[in-house]
Amino acid sequence: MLLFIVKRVTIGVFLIFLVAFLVFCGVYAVGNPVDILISPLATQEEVQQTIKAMGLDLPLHRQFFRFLGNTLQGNLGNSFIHSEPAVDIILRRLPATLEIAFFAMLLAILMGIPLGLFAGLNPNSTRSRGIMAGSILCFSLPNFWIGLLVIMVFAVNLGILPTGGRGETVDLFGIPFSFLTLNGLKHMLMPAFTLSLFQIALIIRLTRSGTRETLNMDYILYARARGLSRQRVVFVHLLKNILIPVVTVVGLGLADLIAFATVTEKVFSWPGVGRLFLDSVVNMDRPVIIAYVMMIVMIFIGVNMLVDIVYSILDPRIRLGGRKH
Amino acid sequence: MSQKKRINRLALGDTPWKRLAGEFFESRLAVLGLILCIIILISGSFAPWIAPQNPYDLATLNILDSKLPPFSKGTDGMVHLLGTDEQGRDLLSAILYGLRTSLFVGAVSGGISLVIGVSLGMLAAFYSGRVESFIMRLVDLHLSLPAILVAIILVAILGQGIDKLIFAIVVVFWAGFARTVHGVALAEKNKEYVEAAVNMTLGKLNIAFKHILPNCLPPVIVVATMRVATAISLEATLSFLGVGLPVTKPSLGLLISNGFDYMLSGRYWISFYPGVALLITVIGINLVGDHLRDVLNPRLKR
Repeated sequence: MLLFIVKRVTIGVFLIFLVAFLVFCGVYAVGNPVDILISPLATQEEVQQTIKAMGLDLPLHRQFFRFLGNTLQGNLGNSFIHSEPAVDIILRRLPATLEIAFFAMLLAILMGIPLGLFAGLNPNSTRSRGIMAGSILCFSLPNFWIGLLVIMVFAVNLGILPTGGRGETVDLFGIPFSFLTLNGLKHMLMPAFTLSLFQIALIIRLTRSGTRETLNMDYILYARARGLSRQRVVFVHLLKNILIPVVTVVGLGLADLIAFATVTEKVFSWPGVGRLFLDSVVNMDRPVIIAYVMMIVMIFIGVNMLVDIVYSILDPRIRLGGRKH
Repeated sequence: MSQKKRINRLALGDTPWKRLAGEFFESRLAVLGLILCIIILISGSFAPWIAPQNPYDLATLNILDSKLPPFSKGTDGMVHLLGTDEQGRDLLSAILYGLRTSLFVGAVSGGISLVIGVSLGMLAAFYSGRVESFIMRLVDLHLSLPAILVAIILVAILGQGIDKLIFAIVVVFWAGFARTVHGVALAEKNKEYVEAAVNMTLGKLNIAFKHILPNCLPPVIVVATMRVATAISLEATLSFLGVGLPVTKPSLGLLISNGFDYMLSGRYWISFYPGVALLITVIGINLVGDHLRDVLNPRLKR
């Protein structure tokens, strides 16, 4: 067991280094940030000074090692634009993104499981067909366009929800959160809903297929033969068993939501890390780009690792997978 | 299809393709999807001949015509069915040209990633051991990263341009194909006809590409059709984020993005109609792909 965990963690750390190297090399190839930052009137001397101050005069590998050394100390360099540590900026923006991602996941669970259960229990009804068609749409339509439509209907035409921004926030442990004020909640509703659509569709499909498979199991038949009420069979016996794959998807989905929030944040001008990342891409703010990508990769690899480890605890077959019996 | 009809068709000695076509046309939704696809394909490919105006020709644009609502008359007496955008472009023409760009990007990037993914997937299935584990680990790593982020970073690094965009989409998509083909090819490898081919001392590559590949194609075709739709969506998303195509030759995503600012002031059409075109394209392709999967899947035979 311990060996398995150690192995997974080693692979994870190796992957993070690999991605760090790739991203660093890739981002290094992006144009010269000095041209953007320095006024065209600056003298040659000033230009040289800035280059030196940012460490851009060193050869690529030296820059990488410097970057790696600093990274291990939690220092990813100063942002070229905001001239403060990139990590600080990211951490300051992260709560907004986490808030919306968690809210979206909550919405996805609250809507996905009941709808999927309904579609699984009545597979041939018109409403179920409607639910399934809707889930295909959520999968295939470009998410940003759904966001635009939602804005058009609820903010512009009906005027009941704000078009974007974060609204009033309340500080909790020194971090501003929107979900504690009514105004903030109103601002969150549309972006979180749009963001959650993909996850809703995924959970609907999983719950539906799980329900349909489980309904034919002997223990369901037995539970019904014992004369248990339909509610009890569905909500206790059936639901418990279909929740296992759903829980996995929720875990992995959270990482997905944080990454995909980039698009939603742009549509609803939500001030999270995703918007910061897009702005940094446009401005070629290298330290922030690298810090953001490293953060996302760490979240992804971390979550994957966690799911693997939890699974291996639950199901020994995975841990022993490669071994022949 | 009734059992009798099916037997009749089999008895008549129909070719498999004819049978597939017969089954495909049974579903009204699939036919609708096919019709949508054909309309989109024709209007996209023949845009320069159908469109009332050349939206890239700045000389024909009049700034006085900008942001006209649908069905209004421009200064030169032209009726703009879907209105105009902020530069006075006829929106219908811009959509047709944009559709052309989007379809091109979708088809080319889908095609290239299909070829790369299928080749690597087959190689992995055939050269088990180091080659296989290397390719498949790469695929795993790739699929564990969020597609949208990889694409944004790549386009950010490479810069704007249609070729760079296609490259980014290919990089994002090949792994999915490789995994599908690898799975199917592994299953096919153990069948008798492969054993027969091996016993006839045919070459490994010959067996892989001439004998096994044709049998792996059905699921790959399904994935490929769906992927074209995803590629079009991805391109639109990237263009919307402002890291995709250059402003001079707008695709559907860029048109939507341009209109976004005006939507809040009630000029919905600049963003809305390009979005509808995108919607029709994606839904059409998905309907066809979804039904193809049912038709090509022998386990679902009624």
